[in-house]
Amino acid sequence: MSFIAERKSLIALGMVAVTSRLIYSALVDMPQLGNGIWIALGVALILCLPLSLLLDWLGHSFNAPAHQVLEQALGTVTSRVWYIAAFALMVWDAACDGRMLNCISSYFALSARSLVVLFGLTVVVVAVGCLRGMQTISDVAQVWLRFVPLLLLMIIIALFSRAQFGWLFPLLGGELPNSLMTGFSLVGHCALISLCCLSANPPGEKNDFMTTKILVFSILLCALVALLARVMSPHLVNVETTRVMAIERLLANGRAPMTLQLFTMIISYSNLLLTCSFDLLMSAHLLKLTLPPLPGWACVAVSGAICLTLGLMGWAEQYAALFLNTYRYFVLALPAIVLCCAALIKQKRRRMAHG
Amino acid sequence: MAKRLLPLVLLLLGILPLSGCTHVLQVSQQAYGISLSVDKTESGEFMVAVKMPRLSGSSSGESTGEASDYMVADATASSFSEAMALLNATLPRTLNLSELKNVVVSDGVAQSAYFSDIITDMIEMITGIQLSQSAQLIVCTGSARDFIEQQQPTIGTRLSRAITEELNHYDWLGISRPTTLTDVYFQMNSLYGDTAVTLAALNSGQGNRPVAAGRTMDAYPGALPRNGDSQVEYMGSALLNSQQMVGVLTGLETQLLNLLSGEEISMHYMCDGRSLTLGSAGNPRIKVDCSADIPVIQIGLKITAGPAQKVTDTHQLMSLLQADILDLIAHCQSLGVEPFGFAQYAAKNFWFYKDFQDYHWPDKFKDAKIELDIDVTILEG
Repeated sequence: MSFIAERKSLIALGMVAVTSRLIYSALVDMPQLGNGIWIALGVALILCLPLSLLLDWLGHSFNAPAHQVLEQALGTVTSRVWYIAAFALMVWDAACDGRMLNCISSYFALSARSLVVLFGLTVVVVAVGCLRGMQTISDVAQVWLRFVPLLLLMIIIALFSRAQFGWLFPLLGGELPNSLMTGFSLVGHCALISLCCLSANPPGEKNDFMTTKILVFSILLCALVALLARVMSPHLVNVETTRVMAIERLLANGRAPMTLQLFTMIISYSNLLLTCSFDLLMSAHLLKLTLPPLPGWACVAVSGAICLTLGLMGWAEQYAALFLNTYRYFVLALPAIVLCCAALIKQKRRRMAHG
Repeated sequence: MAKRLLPLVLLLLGILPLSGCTHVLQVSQQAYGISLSVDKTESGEFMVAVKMPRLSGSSSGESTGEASDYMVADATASSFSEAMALLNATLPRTLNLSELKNVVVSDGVAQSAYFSDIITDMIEMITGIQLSQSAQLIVCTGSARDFIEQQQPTIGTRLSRAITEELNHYDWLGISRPTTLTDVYFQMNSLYGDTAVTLAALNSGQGNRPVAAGRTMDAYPGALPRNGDSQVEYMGSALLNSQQMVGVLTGLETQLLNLLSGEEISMHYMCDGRSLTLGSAGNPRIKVDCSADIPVIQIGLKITAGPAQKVTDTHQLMSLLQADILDLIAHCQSLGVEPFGFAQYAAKNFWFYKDFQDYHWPDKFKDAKIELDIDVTILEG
């Protein structure tokens, strides 16, 4: 199996993965944000845009996958330490997304089914899909993205008459520190996914701004979904909201026509399934980079087993996802920038030394 | 070949158990509730009743619309959720509330301290897709169980359809305030003001009170001077704050409330002895200024009035309407409840939820100054 995919389809997969992460992190796991979602998305955009442009430029300048640049510049040991950290985060993300998928399945149809069966089978199905390789999953994402605008348009048209735009005020929503921290955590999602995508295919002769496209599209789509969510249900105070209740408000909320449930179900389920596949595949890819002799299918199997363990032990529920999100930025984005700059400087010095 | 087949086989194996995820839900195994009622007994317990079709299985498959086509079952326990569990356990079929049209609570329950908890329990039932999200909440004066027992398809043969059509009819007239359970929950737990729900009662035909001349709709349900096959009456609304019911509005007051909220209604109004039809001509322009200690609410209301030949004095009409609307707002201010949605406009004065919460809009509304401007468009014909 191969961890390489065409740039165009990889961009589609990255868009799906980042959009899902942003939406579920901000709207489902942090309902107390309310209208503060705008600050979070704004912070994510301001911080991620220079990072993504730097990563795109870096990839284009060196014309090699991101991991090769890192290994050349920083050495094998340092880069493998980073791979392990990224692998741990990615497989944990896969477990979190798997649990979210579990919530969606339970909400729509399988409320009587146990977690072990649902989650276990989900991981098995996703792992089997991953065995087909990165190109297969990316192609599915590319096809899927063609349907999303149409489905979204139908949802917007159906909901428009029921929207309450007064619920958009107060404009900045919840507490500012919460909104800022959520913004930082969203940066962590974008950084990790962008780096993984850069590692999955060497850039061509032209800088196609892959990570920038992923980032901008995802944040804009997340903003649109957030806008829909905010005008369809008001911010609730002093109400404890579980993941299932947050999903219910996001997908059905009692004010939307029942016929829309089909479209929202299709969008949410498909997105999460692709995101889970992406997470597992990238985990396997990072494991392969850490331990090159390990065959691809074994990397998928190991990643799947760890993901299953984390999910079934409850370490991927809402509280864990929030904890992870809070510190992900510091673990990932900051070192990612430092590593990129260090790689740049070292490479330049090497060229000057040779030239 | 085996390499290609293996993933397919694994996928099919994985999907197979999911197809039989739960027991097959045959219609004959379900007891579909159309109306649900919640009462409080004299001993302080909660009685929950559900009205459902008998599904007698006649060869034509159609009900005749007779009272015997429907049955009411009830259960009593110390809490709402226990009463629901007992009801489900004592019915001969699985109780299915996914087709529920309305939830009727007695005014005693609506005024109790447990009311918000009951609403929360119902919302949690919605989350499990056990309760219809579009079920309307109705407050009934007197026994809610008796009310749902008297609900009959007086026109047509299906009760579920009859309830939907009659609620739509009263909604169009503006004398009711259709509000779903979810909307009630949202308003009770959000910063954006309070809510009102439809008020109903049974008219036994005894002790009907005449309505005041020129104020036909300015009445409550339960004693309207009328006769008909159905004892059920919907007229007016019950005002709910974040905890419970705090007051009631007459049919006329509810119509004015709907006008102020921008609802499309067609209301009957008497002016100078002439019968007019008023309607909404768009959403009202509302601005709330919270800069001073006492907020100022500016309302620009646009309405249509007709027929033209009956509107002899527009200024008198505007004065009457203005007086009625200001009385309505003053009544709500005295009760400490704000069902008009002004809070959404007040929220524009703040940047964060906390600042708006600290402003204590429900308390500020009580003393708010109202500036009302009415623009009347006369309709020809």
